Amino acid sequence: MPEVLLEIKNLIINFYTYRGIVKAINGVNLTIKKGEFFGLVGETGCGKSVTASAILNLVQNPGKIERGEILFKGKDILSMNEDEIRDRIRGKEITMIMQHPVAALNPVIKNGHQIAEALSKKMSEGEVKKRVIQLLKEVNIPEPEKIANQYPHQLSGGMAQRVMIAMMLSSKPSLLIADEPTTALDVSIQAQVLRLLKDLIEKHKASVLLITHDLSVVAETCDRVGVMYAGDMVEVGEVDQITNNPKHPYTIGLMRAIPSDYRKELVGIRGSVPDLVNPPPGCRFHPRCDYARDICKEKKPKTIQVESNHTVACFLYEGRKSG
Amino acid sequence: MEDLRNTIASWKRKHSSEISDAKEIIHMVKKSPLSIAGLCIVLALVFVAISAPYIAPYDPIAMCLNNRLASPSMIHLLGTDELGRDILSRIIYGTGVALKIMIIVLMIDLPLGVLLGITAGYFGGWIDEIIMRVADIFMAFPRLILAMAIGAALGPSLVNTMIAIAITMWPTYARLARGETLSIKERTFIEAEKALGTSKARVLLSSILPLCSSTTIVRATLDMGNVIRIAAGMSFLGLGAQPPTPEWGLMVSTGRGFLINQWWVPTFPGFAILLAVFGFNLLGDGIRDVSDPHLRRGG
Repeated sequence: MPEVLLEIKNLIINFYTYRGIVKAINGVNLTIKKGEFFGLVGETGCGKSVTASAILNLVQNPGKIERGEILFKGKDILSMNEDEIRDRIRGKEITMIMQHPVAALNPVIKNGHQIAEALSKKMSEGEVKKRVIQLLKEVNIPEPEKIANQYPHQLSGGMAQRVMIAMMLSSKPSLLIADEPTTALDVSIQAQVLRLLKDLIEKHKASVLLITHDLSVVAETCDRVGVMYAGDMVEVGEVDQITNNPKHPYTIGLMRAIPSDYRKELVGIRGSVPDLVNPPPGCRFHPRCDYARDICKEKKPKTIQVESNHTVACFLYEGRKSG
Repeated sequence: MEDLRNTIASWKRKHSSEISDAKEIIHMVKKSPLSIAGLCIVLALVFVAISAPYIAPYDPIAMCLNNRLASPSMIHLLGTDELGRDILSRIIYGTGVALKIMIIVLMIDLPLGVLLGITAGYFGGWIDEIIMRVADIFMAFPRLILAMAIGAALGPSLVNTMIAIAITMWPTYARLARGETLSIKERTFIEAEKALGTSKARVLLSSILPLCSSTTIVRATLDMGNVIRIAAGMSFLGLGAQPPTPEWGLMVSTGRGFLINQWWVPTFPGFAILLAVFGFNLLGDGIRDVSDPHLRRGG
């Protein structure tokens, strides 16, 4: 069993808005092991990105981390002071790739320079230049010298995302958070970027937290998957388990909504995402759930292990012996 | 020869993006004759200011009481004033004074206003509240009146005029920079920089500052004419430059008693003010048009 790299325990995040308190993250648990490609899926607004920013302790106002622990290599990030996080964690041990690669690069700084800024300050100018070119070569950028001397707006989305990846891997992080890294890209480029990411991660022996709403991306790249719904982690398991044997009604619904050769008709999940200012009591999914019972409206379901490495938070599986 | 050609070619290749930018700007400027006129006026003013000792026919403060209020002639092109001083020479030397005031005021204002503005915008909260409320207090008064009040309180002198104008002008830049910062700090690359562990000061100075600078600099060019106008106005009221400094506003002020019979005494310095303000405003408008990408594409 590989050792645990990151463990999120009972994370609760609220956003204090004028409309009221948005209970965005409602006690999420998550573990990422060393060298693992972990996919976090869920629809827009379910708290994927907030969880990611909590890992870097960068939850923006009016968001507030109320409770919980984020243990990285056994140390709680949330109890570190700002300097320590900046010096040790952000951009060093944990780095992050953003959704819109061109927007994530500073428009007035040349690409090569941006990567150089992410590098160690101790290197000489010549060394930095060499390392930048080397990093760009590593992410399969043709003519790295030319690209290094250009501005971000001169790059295509795929190129910019590769520059981003080069930048984020430059510090040899042990965890890379990829927040919808391929959403803004064409399908053909998506596959290229994901393959590249996967290869580099294997080479660097890092772990990845891949945030996406695209289940096909998850199925293709991830080792394990967590499914989030309205601030809850409803199901966690290995990719095969989630795709072939989903347990939670929400995951089942998601799977049924994917077009495939076997299914002539697509089935959506009825209803829509709840307003998180007034989330439904009990299980947050119950108003949309075909299997909802009375207990679902009253109590929040506990996480139950249904097979090895496969847990689900649903009353349907209550009473079954774990194992 | 071959070598030289090669180096030129490689230099061109290396700086191709800068060259095409420059070409576009030149093209834009060419299309707007008024900004060209503004540029010419400003360049002429700068030239006159720098070479004043060489092109002025007389000493600007040398009096010649035998030759008081002489009308324009070949000897004194623009005539002489009530103390027999050559008006042309005084206007030429006055150019330097006006430009000096303008440059110093903007050199104080621009960095001060922008730094306060980006600090307020980036950190928000009570820092923002304090800086912007102080700025509001300054902006609550008409600029010229506030400058006059401060100038009068400090005592009339050229240095105090500059201080007074500078104090009244920084809030404009602070507001502008704050507004820009508020939108820039929400952009993804700032988030990315934070996620990379960049310190707040570094994000502020190396990412936000350069992005705010273009709007504030454009604003400064539009303000150049204003500074000259306010400085001349204060001197006119006796709060600015003191005699015998060859300052345009002061010259108009002392000459206004002679307007009916010796019109040239106040008129020519007045024209100088008009020309300078006009030139800087035209140039400022031109720069704004060139630096605004919306106008650039549309034009």
